[in-house]
Amino acid sequence: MRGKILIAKPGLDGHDRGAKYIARCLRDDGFEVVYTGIRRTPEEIVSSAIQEDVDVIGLSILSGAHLEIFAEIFRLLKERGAGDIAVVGGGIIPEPDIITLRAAGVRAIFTPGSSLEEMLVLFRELAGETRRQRGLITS
Amino acid sequence: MNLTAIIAALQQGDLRALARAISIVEAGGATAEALLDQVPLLASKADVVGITGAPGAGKSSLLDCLIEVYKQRDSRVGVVAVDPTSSVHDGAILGDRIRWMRHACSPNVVIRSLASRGSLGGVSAATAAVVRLLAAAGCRPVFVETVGVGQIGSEIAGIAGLVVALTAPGLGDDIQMMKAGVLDVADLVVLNKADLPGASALHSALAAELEHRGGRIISTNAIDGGGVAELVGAIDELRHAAGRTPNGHPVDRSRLEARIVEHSLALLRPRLRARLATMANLNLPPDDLARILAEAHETSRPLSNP
Ligand SMILES: Nc1nc2c(ncn2[C@@H]2O[C@H](COP(=O)(O)OP(=O)(O)O)[C@@H](O)[C@H]2O)c(=O)[nH]1
Ligand SMILES: [Mg+2]
Repeated sequence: MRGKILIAKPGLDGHDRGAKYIARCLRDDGFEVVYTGIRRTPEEIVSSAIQEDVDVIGLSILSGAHLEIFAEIFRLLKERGAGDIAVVGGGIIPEPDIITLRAAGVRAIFTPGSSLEEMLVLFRELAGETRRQRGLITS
Repeated sequence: MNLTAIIAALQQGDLRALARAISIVEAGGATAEALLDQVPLLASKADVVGITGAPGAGKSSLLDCLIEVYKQRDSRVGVVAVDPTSSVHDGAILGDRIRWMRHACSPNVVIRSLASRGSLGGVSAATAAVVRLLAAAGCRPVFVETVGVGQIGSEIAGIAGLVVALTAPGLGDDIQMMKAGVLDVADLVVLNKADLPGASALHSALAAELEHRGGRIISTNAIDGGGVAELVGAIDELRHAAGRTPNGHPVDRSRLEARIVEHSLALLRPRLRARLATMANLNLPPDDLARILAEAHETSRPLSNP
């Protein structure tokens, strides 16, 4: 088991093919993946991530509201003492926004150009980092 | 945070501390043992309700209805959902929570998804300990949704004081359910998807089978909530009359025996696993391996609390 990841799709737009695909790829790479589906609010995402004690939150984003969504998620995580959970995002996100999001603390942004291998390597790194900090792995 | 501080915080109801404690217990090893040494044993197994049944029978959907009822009461309700770990990849999709998202922000509902991590009996090795942690954090009752495949439901009988076995029309498992011995450990049988064709015939068949055993069947529809009030009534009645059937008769001896055997196996399992882990050669005939394990147990120190 490489780590535990929560996958969610915030925002109002409908389909979750991409999010489900990533969830399956992560499972096949040895992760335990809590899949929470579409139209999730930041509040739902943060409460679920805390109760599940995940190492990484992965958000699939298509709508234009992603900056506010990430900001709200970071605010809630900090407020509840869960700032150690890494947050990453994926979707069609314009370059200037990527820079803003990275500056806000999003650990990685995947775009349609990212390779699967690249994503998995990053999830492994981030999950390993969180789990070491928490003393769940010692190596 | 040290272990004593984590336990103190979770007993105050701190969800982050509870979640952290569960991860420690899932990871196993000496830290997990040290933590569990400080966690009170369950006051009563009647506070643990197992939900078992084939995949797709509607366990998660029906639990959604039950959570809605129990969260209105004055204690927290706990839910542990076990999903299968892929035997090939070691990973798992934990997909039950998606049916409970309307409760995600409720302060009275605590949900934890677990992967089975190699256990084949429907729950993970850590499930009993996770239930104890939820109870220590004030959850009454704690519901446990099992994986629902394989030899359904037997391990859950060692954990839960009350086992609800679910079936539904079209799964073709009514006969299998009896064969697999589920009816021996189930306190309540629920026929879900009562809205589907064939439900009433299946209800009669199961009712006839259960009559000999003093068991009871309830039909539900998890989509519109039909039958849920009756189910809640039966669960409460059984929780308050642990060891008795709904008619007030003592639980029959064969069911008690099945439960004791399952409970003993649950206690033994971690010791057998630990012993196996120390053995270099596992390429022996299964009977020989079993004998070695049994002998090792006879000469070992007594079991500690699970
Ligand atoms: N018609 C009907 N469908 C149901 C009912 N309960 C659950 N379902 C559906 O059955 C499918 C499996 O349900 P789920 O709760 O995930 O089953 P589980 O695998 O046992 O947890 C879902 O598509 C549900 O919407 C019911 O009472 N009637
Ligand atoms: Mg389910």
